[in-house]
Amino acid sequence: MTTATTAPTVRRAPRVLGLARAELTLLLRNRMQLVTALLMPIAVPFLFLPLARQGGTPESLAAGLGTMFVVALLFIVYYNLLSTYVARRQDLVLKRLRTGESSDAAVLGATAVPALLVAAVMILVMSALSIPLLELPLPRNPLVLVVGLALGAAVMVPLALMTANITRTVEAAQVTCLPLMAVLVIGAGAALPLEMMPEWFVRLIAVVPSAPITELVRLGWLGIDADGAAVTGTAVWTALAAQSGILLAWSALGVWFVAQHFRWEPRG
Amino acid sequence: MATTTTDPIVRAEALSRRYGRGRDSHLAVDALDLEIRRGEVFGLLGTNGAGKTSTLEVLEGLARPTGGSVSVFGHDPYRERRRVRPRQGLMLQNGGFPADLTAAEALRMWTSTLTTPRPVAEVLEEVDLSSRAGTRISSLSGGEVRRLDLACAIAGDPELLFLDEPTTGLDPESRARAWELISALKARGTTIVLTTHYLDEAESLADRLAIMHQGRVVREGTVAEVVAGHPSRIRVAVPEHGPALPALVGAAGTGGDGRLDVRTSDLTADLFTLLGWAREHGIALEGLDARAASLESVFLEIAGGESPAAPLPETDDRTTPIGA
Repeated sequence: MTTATTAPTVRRAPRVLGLARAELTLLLRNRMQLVTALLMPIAVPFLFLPLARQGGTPESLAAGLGTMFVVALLFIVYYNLLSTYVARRQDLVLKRLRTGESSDAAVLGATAVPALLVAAVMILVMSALSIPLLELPLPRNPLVLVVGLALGAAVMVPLALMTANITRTVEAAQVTCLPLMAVLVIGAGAALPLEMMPEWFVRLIAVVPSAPITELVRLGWLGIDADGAAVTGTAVWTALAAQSGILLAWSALGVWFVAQHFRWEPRG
Repeated sequence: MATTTTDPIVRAEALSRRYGRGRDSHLAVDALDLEIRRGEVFGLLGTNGAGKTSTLEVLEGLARPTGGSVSVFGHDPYRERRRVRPRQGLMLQNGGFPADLTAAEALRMWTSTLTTPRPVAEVLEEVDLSSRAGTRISSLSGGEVRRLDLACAIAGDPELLFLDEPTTGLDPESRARAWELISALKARGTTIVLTTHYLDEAESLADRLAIMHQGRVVREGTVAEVVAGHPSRIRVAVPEHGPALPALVGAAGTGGDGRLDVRTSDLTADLFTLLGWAREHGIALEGLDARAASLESVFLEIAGGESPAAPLPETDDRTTPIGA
Protein backbone atom coordinates (compact mmCIF):
# COMPACT_ATOMS: atom_id res chain seq x y z
CA MET A 1 0.00 0.00 0.00
CA THR A 2 2.95 2.33 0.49
CA THR A 3 3.65 2.42 -3.25
CA ALA A 4 0.19 3.89 -3.74
CA THR A 5 1.05 7.13 -2.00
CA THR A 6 4.26 7.74 -3.91
CA ALA A 7 2.80 7.32 -7.38
CA PRO A 8 0.31 10.17 -7.92
CA THR A 9 2.50 12.08 -10.34
CA VAL A 10 2.88 8.98 -12.52
CA ARG A 11 -0.87 8.35 -12.55
CA ARG A 12 -1.91 11.92 -13.21
CA ALA A 13 -1.88 11.89 -17.01
CA PRO A 14 -3.53 8.47 -17.50
CA ARG A 15 -6.27 9.49 -15.07
CA VAL A 16 -7.45 12.25 -17.40
CA LEU A 17 -6.73 10.18 -20.50
CA GLY A 18 -8.81 7.23 -19.34
CA LEU A 19 -11.82 9.47 -18.81
CA ALA A 20 -11.17 11.32 -22.07
CA ARG A 21 -10.96 8.02 -23.94
CA ALA A 22 -14.36 6.94 -22.61
CA GLU A 23 -15.74 10.35 -23.57
CA LEU A 24 -14.38 9.97 -27.10
CA THR A 25 -16.01 6.54 -27.40
CA LEU A 26 -19.30 8.11 -26.34
CA LEU A 27 -18.93 10.97 -28.81
CA LEU A 28 -18.29 8.52 -31.65
CA ARG A 29 -21.42 6.58 -30.65
CA ASN A 30 -23.66 9.63 -30.48
CA ARG A 31 -24.63 10.29 -34.08
CA MET A 32 -26.37 13.60 -33.43
CA GLN A 33 -23.40 15.04 -31.58
CA LEU A 34 -21.00 13.73 -34.18
CA VAL A 35 -22.93 15.33 -37.03
CA THR A 36 -23.03 18.65 -35.18
CA ALA A 37 -19.31 18.46 -34.52
CA LEU A 38 -18.17 17.30 -37.94
CA LEU A 39 -20.61 18.50 -40.59
CA MET A 40 -21.44 21.96 -39.24
CA PRO A 41 -17.90 23.31 -39.40
CA ILE A 42 -17.42 21.94 -42.92
CA ALA A 43 -20.66 23.54 -44.03
CA VAL A 44 -19.82 26.95 -42.63
CA PRO A 45 -17.20 28.06 -45.25
CA PHE A 46 -19.71 27.25 -47.97
CA LEU A 47 -22.18 29.66 -46.39
CA PHE A 48 -19.70 32.44 -47.06
CA LEU A 49 -19.21 31.37 -50.64
CA PRO A 50 -21.87 33.75 -52.11
CA LEU A 51 -20.16 36.65 -50.32
CA ALA A 52 -16.82 35.75 -51.87
CA ARG A 53 -18.37 35.18 -55.30
CA GLN A 54 -19.77 38.70 -55.28
CA GLY A 55 -16.16 39.75 -55.74
CA GLY A 56 -15.56 40.90 -52.18
CA THR A 57 -12.00 41.69 -51.16
CA PRO A 58 -10.41 39.67 -48.36
CA GLU A 59 -11.01 42.72 -46.16
CA SER A 60 -14.74 42.58 -46.73
CA LEU A 61 -14.60 38.95 -45.71
CA ALA A 62 -12.68 39.81 -42.56
CA ALA A 63 -15.69 40.04 -40.29
CA GLY A 64 -17.19 36.97 -41.86
CA LEU A 65 -14.06 34.95 -41.23
CA GLY A 66 -14.20 35.65 -37.48
CA THR A 67 -17.90 34.79 -37.39
CA MET A 68 -17.16 31.54 -39.18
CA PHE A 69 -14.76 30.39 -36.49
CA VAL A 70 -16.96 31.63 -33.65
CA VAL A 71 -19.90 29.66 -35.04
CA ALA A 72 -17.68 26.59 -35.42
CA LEU A 73 -16.49 26.86 -31.81
CA LEU A 74 -20.06 27.35 -30.64
CA PHE A 75 -21.19 24.14 -32.26
CA ILE A 76 -18.16 21.91 -31.74
CA VAL A 77 -17.20 23.00 -28.26
CA TYR A 78 -19.97 24.98 -26.58
CA TYR A 79 -23.14 23.21 -27.68
CA ASN A 80 -21.52 19.80 -27.82
CA LEU A 81 -20.10 20.07 -24.31
CA LEU A 82 -23.29 21.57 -22.92
CA SER A 83 -25.20 18.46 -24.07
CA THR A 84 -22.45 16.18 -22.82
CA TYR A 85 -22.22 17.69 -19.34
CA VAL A 86 -26.00 17.65 -18.94
CA ALA A 87 -26.19 14.03 -20.14
CA ARG A 88 -23.42 12.93 -17.76
CA ARG A 89 -25.11 14.69 -14.89
CA GLN A 90 -28.49 13.10 -15.73
CA ASP A 91 -26.88 9.65 -15.84
CA LEU A 92 -25.20 10.40 -12.47
CA VAL A 93 -21.81 9.85 -14.09
CA LEU A 94 -20.47 13.13 -12.70
CA LYS A 95 -21.71 12.19 -9.23
CA ARG A 96 -19.99 8.81 -9.44
CA LEU A 97 -16.69 10.18 -10.73
CA ARG A 98 -16.71 12.73 -7.94
CA THR A 99 -16.78 9.94 -5.37
CA GLY A 100 -13.52 8.55 -6.73
CA GLU A 101 -9.95 9.70 -6.75
CA SER A 102 -10.20 12.22 -9.59
CA SER A 103 -10.30 15.90 -8.74
CA ASP A 104 -13.30 17.95 -9.82
CA ALA A 105 -11.18 19.71 -12.41
CA ALA A 106 -9.96 16.39 -13.85
CA VAL A 107 -13.51 15.07 -14.20
CA LEU A 108 -14.82 18.16 -15.98
CA GLY A 109 -11.62 18.76 -17.93
CA ALA A 110 -11.36 15.20 -19.22
CA THR A 111 -14.91 15.42 -20.54
CA ALA A 112 -13.90 18.45 -22.60
CA VAL A 113 -10.85 16.82 -24.20
CA PRO A 114 -12.55 15.06 -27.15
CA ALA A 115 -14.53 18.18 -28.09
CA LEU A 116 -11.37 20.30 -28.00
CA LEU A 117 -9.51 17.74 -30.13
CA VAL A 118 -12.34 17.67 -32.67
CA ALA A 119 -12.32 21.47 -32.64
CA ALA A 120 -8.59 21.55 -33.40
CA VAL A 121 -8.94 19.12 -36.29
CA MET A 122 -12.05 20.73 -37.71
CA ILE A 123 -10.59 24.23 -37.55
CA LEU A 124 -7.63 22.99 -39.57
CA VAL A 125 -10.01 21.41 -42.09
CA MET A 126 -12.10 24.58 -42.24
CA SER A 127 -9.06 26.74 -42.77
CA ALA A 128 -7.72 24.44 -45.47
CA LEU A 129 -11.09 24.55 -47.20
CA SER A 130 -11.47 28.31 -46.87
CA ILE A 131 -8.21 29.33 -48.49
CA PRO A 132 -9.05 28.03 -52.00
CA LEU A 133 -12.80 28.38 -51.62
CA LEU A 134 -12.88 31.98 -50.43
CA GLU A 135 -9.62 32.94 -52.16
CA LEU A 136 -7.95 33.91 -48.92
CA PRO A 137 -4.25 34.62 -48.48
CA LEU A 138 -2.13 32.54 -46.09
CA PRO A 139 -2.32 33.72 -42.45
CA ARG A 140 -0.03 36.71 -41.78
CA ASN A 141 0.53 36.07 -38.04
CA PRO A 142 -0.14 32.36 -37.52
CA LEU A 143 0.75 32.55 -33.80
CA VAL A 144 -1.90 35.21 -33.19
CA LEU A 145 -4.43 33.07 -35.04
CA VAL A 146 -3.56 29.97 -33.02
CA VAL A 147 -3.64 31.80 -29.68
CA GLY A 148 -6.97 33.40 -30.54
CA LEU A 149 -8.60 30.12 -31.53
CA ALA A 150 -7.07 28.14 -28.66
CA LEU A 151 -8.23 30.65 -26.04
CA GLY A 152 -11.54 30.94 -27.84
CA ALA A 153 -12.03 27.17 -27.66
CA ALA A 154 -10.96 27.10 -24.01
CA VAL A 155 -13.39 29.84 -22.93
CA MET A 156 -16.27 27.79 -24.38
CA VAL A 157 -15.71 25.08 -21.73
CA PRO A 158 -16.64 27.15 -18.63
CA LEU A 159 -19.39 28.81 -20.66
CA ALA A 160 -20.84 25.37 -21.42
CA LEU A 161 -20.55 24.40 -17.73
CA MET A 162 -22.28 27.58 -16.61
CA THR A 163 -25.11 27.01 -19.08
CA ALA A 164 -25.38 23.41 -17.84
CA ASN A 165 -26.42 24.85 -14.46
CA ILE A 166 -29.65 26.17 -15.97
CA THR A 167 -30.24 23.13 -18.19
CA ARG A 168 -32.18 20.23 -16.75
CA THR A 169 -32.19 17.85 -19.70
CA VAL A 170 -30.30 17.26 -22.93
CA GLU A 171 -33.42 18.34 -24.84
CA ALA A 172 -33.57 21.60 -22.89
CA ALA A 173 -30.02 22.36 -24.05
CA GLN A 174 -31.43 23.17 -27.48
CA VAL A 175 -33.14 26.17 -25.89
CA THR A 176 -30.76 27.15 -23.10
CA CYS A 177 -27.86 27.40 -25.55
CA LEU A 178 -29.62 30.10 -27.58
CA PRO A 179 -29.04 33.26 -25.49
CA LEU A 180 -25.29 32.81 -25.34
CA MET A 181 -25.10 31.77 -28.99
CA ALA A 182 -27.04 34.91 -29.98
CA VAL A 183 -24.82 37.17 -27.88
CA LEU A 184 -21.64 35.58 -29.24
CA VAL A 185 -22.80 35.85 -32.85
CA ILE A 186 -23.58 39.53 -32.25
CA GLY A 187 -20.19 39.87 -30.57
CA ALA A 188 -18.53 38.40 -33.64
CA GLY A 189 -19.77 41.49 -35.42
CA ALA A 190 -21.66 39.94 -38.27
CA ALA A 191 -25.25 39.93 -37.03
CA LEU A 192 -25.72 43.66 -36.44
CA PRO A 193 -24.26 46.61 -38.32
CA LEU A 194 -22.10 47.85 -35.47
CA GLU A 195 -21.31 51.17 -37.22
CA MET A 196 -24.99 52.08 -36.83
CA MET A 197 -25.07 51.28 -33.11
CA PRO A 198 -24.51 53.74 -30.25
CA GLU A 199 -21.03 54.08 -28.82
CA TRP A 200 -21.80 52.37 -25.46
CA PHE A 201 -23.22 49.37 -27.27
CA VAL A 202 -20.12 48.97 -29.39
CA ARG A 203 -17.93 49.14 -26.29
CA LEU A 204 -20.05 46.55 -24.54
CA ILE A 205 -19.93 44.24 -27.53
CA ALA A 206 -16.15 44.52 -27.64
CA VAL A 207 -15.83 42.58 -24.37
CA VAL A 208 -18.21 39.77 -25.33
CA PRO A 209 -15.97 36.66 -25.55
CA SER A 210 -16.48 36.30 -29.29
CA ALA A 211 -15.27 39.83 -30.04
CA PRO A 212 -11.63 39.15 -29.13
CA ILE A 213 -11.79 35.84 -31.02
CA THR A 214 -12.89 37.72 -34.14
CA GLU A 215 -10.24 40.39 -33.57
CA LEU A 216 -7.46 37.83 -33.20
CA VAL A 217 -8.61 35.81 -36.23
CA ARG A 218 -8.66 38.97 -38.36
CA LEU A 219 -5.32 40.15 -37.03
CA GLY A 220 -3.74 36.72 -37.31
CA TRP A 221 -5.00 35.93 -40.75
CA LEU A 222 -5.20 39.27 -42.55
CA GLY A 223 -3.03 41.48 -40.34
CA ILE A 224 -5.68 44.24 -40.23
CA ASP A 225 -7.90 45.83 -37.59
CA ALA A 226 -11.66 46.30 -37.65
CA ASP A 227 -11.38 49.35 -39.89
CA GLY A 228 -9.23 47.50 -42.41
CA ALA A 229 -6.00 49.33 -41.49
CA ALA A 230 -2.84 47.22 -41.49
CA VAL A 231 -1.40 46.37 -38.06
CA THR A 232 2.32 45.69 -37.88
CA GLY A 233 5.28 45.51 -35.50
CA THR A 234 4.72 45.86 -31.77
CA ALA A 235 1.10 46.89 -32.34
CA VAL A 236 0.40 43.24 -33.18
CA TRP A 237 1.66 42.10 -29.78
CA THR A 238 -0.14 44.86 -27.92
CA ALA A 239 -3.39 43.87 -29.62
CA LEU A 240 -2.70 40.19 -28.93
CA ALA A 241 -2.14 40.90 -25.22
CA ALA A 242 -5.26 43.07 -24.90
CA GLN A 243 -7.58 40.64 -26.70
CA SER A 244 -6.11 37.58 -24.96
CA GLY A 245 -6.61 39.42 -21.69
CA ILE A 246 -10.36 39.63 -22.33
CA LEU A 247 -10.54 35.90 -23.11
CA LEU A 248 -8.44 34.98 -20.08
CA ALA A 249 -10.61 37.17 -17.86
CA TRP A 250 -13.75 35.40 -19.10
CA SER A 251 -12.11 32.01 -18.59
CA ALA A 252 -11.05 32.91 -15.05
CA LEU A 253 -14.51 34.24 -14.23
CA GLY A 254 -16.10 31.10 -15.66
CA VAL A 255 -13.78 28.74 -13.82
CA TRP A 256 -14.40 30.61 -10.57
CA PHE A 257 -18.16 30.37 -11.04
CA VAL A 258 -18.01 26.68 -11.92
CA ALA A 259 -15.80 25.89 -8.92
CA GLN A 260 -18.32 27.61 -6.64
CA HIS A 261 -21.67 26.84 -8.14
CA PHE A 262 -21.54 23.91 -10.55
CA ARG A 263 -24.44 21.46 -10.17
CA TRP A 264 -23.02 17.95 -9.98
CA GLU A 265 -26.32 16.18 -9.49
CA PRO A 266 -29.71 16.42 -11.19
CA ARG A 267 -32.28 18.51 -9.38
CA GLY A 268 -34.51 16.34 -7.21
CA MET B 1 -4.02 -6.84 8.59
CA ALA B 2 -5.72 -10.18 8.47
CA THR B 3 -7.84 -10.14 11.59
CA THR B 4 -10.10 -7.84 13.52
CA THR B 5 -8.20 -5.68 15.95
CA THR B 6 -9.31 -2.83 18.13
CA ASP B 7 -7.48 -0.39 15.88
CA PRO B 8 -10.23 2.02 14.70
CA ILE B 9 -10.16 2.90 11.00
CA VAL B 10 -13.22 5.11 11.04
CA ARG B 11 -14.06 7.27 13.99
CA ALA B 12 -16.94 9.72 14.30
CA GLU B 13 -17.41 11.89 17.34
CA ALA B 14 -20.55 13.92 18.06
CA LEU B 15 -21.22 13.87 14.34
CA SER B 16 -24.24 15.86 13.25
CA ARG B 17 -25.63 16.79 9.92
CA ARG B 18 -28.31 19.37 9.32
CA TYR B 19 -30.07 20.13 6.06
CA GLY B 20 -31.35 23.61 5.36
CA ARG B 21 -31.28 26.60 7.66
CA GLY B 22 -33.48 28.30 10.21
CA ARG B 23 -36.98 27.02 10.79
CA ASP B 24 -37.02 24.69 7.78
CA SER B 25 -33.86 22.93 8.79
CA HIS B 26 -33.83 19.25 9.53
CA LEU B 27 -31.37 17.46 11.75
CA ALA B 28 -30.67 14.21 9.91
CA VAL B 29 -27.78 13.03 12.08
CA ASP B 30 -27.74 13.94 15.76
CA ALA B 31 -24.52 13.76 17.80
CA LEU B 32 -23.51 10.36 16.53
CA ASP B 33 -20.52 8.49 17.92
CA LEU B 34 -19.16 5.59 15.94
CA GLU B 35 -16.03 3.50 15.79
CA ILE B 36 -15.27 1.01 13.06
CA ARG B 37 -12.30 -1.28 13.57
CA ARG B 38 -9.82 -2.63 11.11
CA GLY B 39 -10.89 -5.88 9.47
CA GLU B 40 -14.47 -5.95 10.67
CA VAL B 41 -17.74 -5.90 8.77
CA PHE B 42 -19.83 -3.16 10.32
CA GLY B 43 -23.55 -3.06 9.57
CA LEU B 44 -25.43 0.23 9.66
CA LEU B 45 -29.15 -0.40 9.90
CA GLY B 46 -32.14 1.81 10.20
CA THR B 47 -35.50 2.65 8.74
CA ASN B 48 -35.81 4.93 5.74
CA GLY B 49 -34.99 8.44 6.90
CA ALA B 50 -33.10 7.24 9.96
CA GLY B 51 -29.98 9.02 8.73
CA LYS B 52 -27.96 6.08 7.39
CA THR B 53 -27.13 7.57 4.02
CA SER B 54 -26.52 11.01 5.54
CA THR B 55 -24.06 9.41 7.96
CA LEU B 56 -22.46 7.30 5.27
CA GLU B 57 -21.90 10.32 3.01
CA VAL B 58 -19.95 12.03 5.76
CA LEU B 59 -17.88 8.92 6.54
CA GLU B 60 -17.16 8.53 2.82
CA GLY B 61 -15.98 12.13 2.60
CA LEU B 62 -18.69 13.11 0.13
CA ALA B 63 -20.22 15.65 2.48
CA ARG B 64 -19.02 17.87 5.27
CA PRO B 65 -20.58 17.31 8.69
CA THR B 66 -22.50 20.21 10.27
CA GLY B 67 -20.88 19.46 13.60
CA GLY B 68 -18.52 17.01 15.26
CA SER B 69 -15.56 15.29 13.70
CA VAL B 70 -14.79 12.31 11.51
CA SER B 71 -11.50 10.65 10.88
CA VAL B 72 -10.75 7.87 8.41
CA PHE B 73 -7.25 6.36 8.50
CA GLY B 74 -6.50 9.29 10.80
CA HIS B 75 -7.44 11.88 8.17
CA ASP B 76 -10.40 14.15 7.55
CA PRO B 77 -12.16 12.30 4.70
CA TYR B 78 -13.58 15.51 3.25
CA ARG B 79 -10.65 17.88 3.37
CA GLU B 80 -7.91 15.28 2.96
CA ARG B 81 -9.72 13.25 0.32
CA ARG B 82 -6.54 12.77 -1.67
CA ARG B 83 -5.06 10.79 1.19
CA VAL B 84 -8.19 8.81 1.96
CA ARG B 85 -9.79 8.08 -1.42
CA PRO B 86 -7.04 5.82 -2.82
CA ARG B 87 -7.52 3.50 0.16
CA GLN B 88 -11.30 3.31 0.13
CA GLY B 89 -13.89 1.91 -2.26
CA LEU B 90 -17.51 2.82 -2.30
CA MET B 91 -20.65 1.45 -3.78
CA LEU B 92 -23.35 4.02 -4.31
CA GLN B 93 -27.03 3.29 -4.46
CA ASN B 94 -27.44 4.50 -8.01
CA GLY B 95 -25.41 3.41 -11.05
CA GLY B 96 -23.87 6.45 -12.66
CA PHE B 97 -22.60 4.90 -15.86
CA PRO B 98 -22.91 6.39 -19.36
CA ALA B 99 -25.68 4.38 -21.07
CA ASP B 100 -23.76 4.00 -24.33
CA LEU B 101 -20.64 2.39 -22.89
CA THR B 102 -20.31 -1.37 -22.46
CA ALA B 103 -19.86 -2.88 -19.03
CA ALA B 104 -16.14 -3.42 -19.65
CA GLU B 105 -15.65 0.10 -21.03
CA ALA B 106 -17.41 1.65 -18.06
CA LEU B 107 -15.29 -0.33 -15.64
CA ARG B 108 -12.13 0.57 -17.59
CA MET B 109 -13.11 4.23 -17.43
CA TRP B 110 -13.46 3.89 -13.67
CA THR B 111 -10.22 1.97 -13.13
CA SER B 112 -8.31 4.58 -15.15
CA THR B 113 -8.96 6.98 -12.29
CA LEU B 114 -7.62 4.66 -9.57
CA THR B 115 -4.19 4.60 -7.99
CA THR B 116 -4.04 0.82 -7.67
CA PRO B 117 -6.41 -0.57 -10.30
CA ARG B 118 -7.03 -4.30 -10.62
CA PRO B 119 -7.40 -5.84 -14.11
CA VAL B 120 -10.86 -5.17 -15.55
CA ALA B 121 -11.44 -8.78 -16.67
CA GLU B 122 -10.57 -10.13 -13.24
CA VAL B 123 -12.98 -7.79 -11.45
CA LEU B 124 -15.78 -8.52 -13.93
CA GLU B 125 -15.24 -12.22 -13.32
CA GLU B 126 -15.48 -11.69 -9.59
CA VAL B 127 -18.92 -10.10 -9.86
CA ASP B 128 -20.01 -12.66 -12.46
CA LEU B 129 -20.32 -10.17 -15.32
CA SER B 130 -17.74 -11.62 -17.72
CA SER B 131 -20.41 -12.80 -20.11
CA ARG B 132 -21.88 -9.30 -20.21
CA ALA B 133 -18.58 -7.44 -20.67
CA GLY B 134 -19.44 -6.32 -24.21
CA THR B 135 -23.03 -5.35 -23.45
CA ARG B 136 -24.06 -1.70 -23.34
CA ILE B 137 -25.06 -0.39 -19.92
CA SER B 138 -28.46 0.54 -21.35
CA SER B 139 -29.13 -3.17 -22.02
CA LEU B 140 -28.04 -4.45 -18.61
CA SER B 141 -30.65 -5.43 -16.04
CA GLY B 142 -30.95 -3.54 -12.76
CA GLY B 143 -29.22 -6.37 -10.92
CA GLU B 144 -26.36 -6.40 -13.42
CA VAL B 145 -25.83 -2.66 -12.97
CA ARG B 146 -25.72 -3.23 -9.21
CA ARG B 147 -22.99 -5.81 -9.74
CA LEU B 148 -21.08 -3.36 -11.92
CA ASP B 149 -21.42 -0.87 -9.06
CA LEU B 150 -19.88 -3.46 -6.79
CA ALA B 151 -17.14 -4.11 -9.35
CA CYS B 152 -16.21 -0.41 -9.28
CA ALA B 153 -16.17 -0.42 -5.49
CA ILE B 154 -13.66 -3.26 -5.31
CA ALA B 155 -11.63 -2.39 -8.44
CA GLY B 156 -9.10 -0.32 -6.52
CA ASP B 157 -8.29 -3.09 -4.03
CA PRO B 158 -9.51 -0.93 -1.15
CA GLU B 159 -8.63 -1.36 2.52
CA LEU B 160 -11.95 0.16 3.48
CA LEU B 161 -15.13 -0.56 1.58
CA PHE B 162 -18.47 1.21 1.91
CA LEU B 163 -21.39 -0.78 0.56
CA ASP B 164 -24.70 1.07 0.48
CA GLU B 165 -27.42 -1.57 0.14
CA PRO B 166 -25.25 -3.84 -2.01
CA THR B 167 -27.83 -6.54 -2.66
CA THR B 168 -30.97 -4.46 -3.19
CA GLY B 169 -32.49 -5.49 -6.52
CA LEU B 170 -30.44 -8.66 -6.87
CA ASP B 171 -32.02 -12.03 -7.53
CA PRO B 172 -31.42 -14.68 -4.82
CA GLU B 173 -28.54 -16.30 -6.71
CA SER B 174 -26.68 -13.02 -7.30
CA ARG B 175 -27.34 -12.11 -3.72
CA ALA B 176 -25.74 -15.32 -2.51
CA ARG B 177 -22.72 -14.59 -4.72
CA ALA B 178 -22.46 -11.06 -3.38
CA TRP B 179 -22.44 -12.48 0.13
CA GLU B 180 -19.65 -14.87 -0.81
CA LEU B 181 -17.70 -12.01 -2.33
CA ILE B 182 -18.15 -9.86 0.79
CA SER B 183 -17.00 -12.74 2.98
CA ALA B 184 -13.98 -13.29 0.74
CA LEU B 185 -13.08 -9.59 0.95
CA LYS B 186 -13.37 -9.74 4.71
CA ALA B 187 -11.09 -12.78 4.75
CA ARG B 188 -8.54 -10.73 2.81
CA GLY B 189 -8.63 -8.17 5.61
CA THR B 190 -10.86 -5.54 4.03
CA THR B 191 -12.81 -3.42 6.50
CA ILE B 192 -16.39 -3.18 5.30
CA VAL B 193 -19.15 -0.76 6.23
CA LEU B 194 -22.48 -2.08 5.05
CA THR B 195 -25.98 -0.66 5.00
CA THR B 196 -28.83 -2.96 4.22
CA HIS B 197 -32.56 -3.41 4.44
CA TYR B 198 -32.16 -7.14 4.80
CA LEU B 199 -31.76 -8.10 8.42
CA ASP B 200 -30.64 -11.63 7.56
CA GLU B 201 -27.85 -10.03 5.53
CA ALA B 202 -26.69 -8.00 8.49
CA GLU B 203 -27.03 -11.01 10.78
CA SER B 204 -24.90 -13.29 8.65
CA LEU B 205 -22.30 -10.77 7.44
CA ALA B 206 -21.80 -8.14 10.12
CA ASP B 207 -19.39 -8.59 13.02
CA ARG B 208 -20.89 -5.58 14.70
CA LEU B 209 -23.80 -3.37 13.85
CA ALA B 210 -25.51 -0.17 14.79
CA ILE B 211 -29.20 0.53 14.46
CA MET B 212 -30.06 4.14 13.72
CA HIS B 213 -33.34 5.81 14.48
CA GLN B 214 -34.12 9.49 14.00
CA GLY B 215 -30.49 10.42 13.48
CA ARG B 216 -29.12 8.58 16.49
CA VAL B 217 -27.56 5.20 17.12
CA VAL B 218 -30.02 3.48 19.44
CA ARG B 219 -28.34 0.05 19.57
CA GLU B 220 -24.81 -0.98 18.84
CA GLY B 221 -22.71 -4.11 19.20
CA THR B 222 -22.62 -7.70 17.97
CA VAL B 223 -25.93 -9.27 17.00
CA ALA B 224 -25.97 -11.10 20.34
CA GLU B 225 -25.28 -7.87 22.23
CA VAL B 226 -27.96 -5.96 20.35
CA VAL B 227 -30.52 -8.68 20.91
CA ALA B 228 -29.53 -9.17 24.55
CA GLY B 229 -31.93 -7.53 26.94
CA HIS B 230 -34.63 -7.46 24.35
CA PRO B 231 -37.81 -9.29 25.39
CA SER B 232 -38.99 -12.46 23.72
CA ARG B 233 -42.60 -12.51 22.73
CA ILE B 234 -45.52 -14.90 23.03
CA ARG B 235 -48.75 -14.23 21.20
CA VAL B 236 -51.82 -16.41 21.43
CA ALA B 237 -55.61 -16.23 21.20
CA VAL B 238 -57.25 -17.07 24.56
CA PRO B 239 -61.00 -17.28 25.27
CA GLU B 240 -62.42 -13.92 26.32
CA HIS B 241 -64.14 -15.09 29.50
CA GLY B 242 -61.81 -17.92 30.36
CA PRO B 243 -59.98 -18.54 33.59
CA ALA B 244 -57.54 -15.99 34.96
CA LEU B 245 -54.04 -16.08 33.51
CA PRO B 246 -51.29 -17.64 35.56
CA ALA B 247 -48.45 -15.52 36.97
CA LEU B 248 -45.79 -14.93 34.32
CA VAL B 249 -42.23 -13.62 34.37
CA GLY B 250 -43.03 -11.21 31.56
CA ALA B 251 -45.73 -8.59 31.19
CA ALA B 252 -49.00 -9.67 29.60
CA GLY B 253 -51.10 -7.32 27.52
CA THR B 254 -53.57 -7.38 24.70
CA GLY B 255 -52.28 -6.84 21.21
CA GLY B 256 -53.96 -4.87 18.45
CA ASP B 257 -55.62 -8.04 17.12
CA GLY B 258 -57.13 -8.84 20.51
CA ARG B 259 -54.68 -11.64 21.19
CA LEU B 260 -52.74 -12.07 24.37
CA ASP B 261 -49.33 -10.51 23.96
CA VAL B 262 -46.61 -11.42 26.47
CA ARG B 263 -43.18 -9.79 26.51
CA THR B 264 -40.76 -11.74 28.59
CA SER B 265 -37.14 -12.13 29.48
CA ASP B 266 -37.71 -15.83 30.09
CA LEU B 267 -39.40 -17.37 27.11
CA THR B 268 -38.98 -20.98 28.24
CA ALA B 269 -40.48 -20.47 31.69
CA ASP B 270 -43.44 -18.42 30.52
CA LEU B 271 -44.20 -20.72 27.63
CA PHE B 272 -44.10 -23.68 29.96
CA THR B 273 -46.45 -21.91 32.43
CA LEU B 274 -48.88 -20.98 29.67
CA LEU B 275 -48.95 -24.48 28.20
CA GLY B 276 -49.53 -26.01 31.62
CA TRP B 277 -52.32 -23.50 32.29
CA ALA B 278 -53.97 -24.28 28.97
CA ARG B 279 -53.82 -28.00 29.59
CA GLU B 280 -55.15 -27.67 33.10
CA HIS B 281 -58.19 -25.72 31.87
CA GLY B 282 -58.61 -27.64 28.66
CA ILE B 283 -58.02 -24.56 26.52
CA ALA B 284 -56.79 -24.86 22.96
CA LEU B 285 -54.10 -22.24 22.40
CA GLU B 286 -55.00 -21.06 18.92
CA GLY B 287 -52.43 -19.33 16.78
CA LEU B 288 -49.71 -19.76 19.37
CA ASP B 289 -46.65 -17.88 18.29
CA ALA B 290 -43.55 -17.81 20.48
CA ARG B 291 -40.46 -15.97 19.36
CA ALA B 292 -37.08 -15.53 20.90
CA ALA B 293 -35.74 -12.01 20.57
CA SER B 294 -34.05 -11.57 17.20
CA LEU B 295 -32.47 -8.76 15.27
CA GLU B 296 -35.74 -8.50 13.40
CA SER B 297 -37.83 -8.09 16.54
CA VAL B 298 -35.43 -5.49 17.91
CA PHE B 299 -35.43 -3.66 14.61
CA LEU B 300 -39.19 -3.70 14.22
CA GLU B 301 -39.70 -2.42 17.73
CA ILE B 302 -37.29 0.44 17.11
CA ALA B 303 -38.85 1.18 13.73
CA GLY B 304 -42.31 1.17 15.33
CA GLY B 305 -41.03 3.73 17.82
CA GLU B 306 -42.01 1.62 20.82
CA SER B 307 -39.68 2.67 23.61
CA PRO B 308 -36.51 1.96 21.66
CA ALA B 309 -34.10 2.18 24.57
CA ALA B 310 -35.99 0.16 27.16
CA PRO B 311 -34.55 -3.30 27.49
CA LEU B 312 -35.82 -5.43 30.37
CA PRO B 313 -33.92 -5.06 33.64
CA GLU B 314 -33.18 -8.80 34.09
CA THR B 315 -29.93 -9.92 32.57
CA ASP B 316 -29.87 -13.62 33.43
CA ASP B 317 -31.31 -16.59 31.59
CA ARG B 318 -30.97 -14.99 28.21
CA THR B 319 -32.67 -16.43 25.18
CA THR B 320 -30.42 -16.95 22.23
CA PRO B 321 -31.15 -15.17 18.98
CA ILE B 322 -32.55 -17.13 16.11
CA GLY B 323 -30.06 -17.56 13.33
CA ALA B 324 -30.75 -16.49 9.75
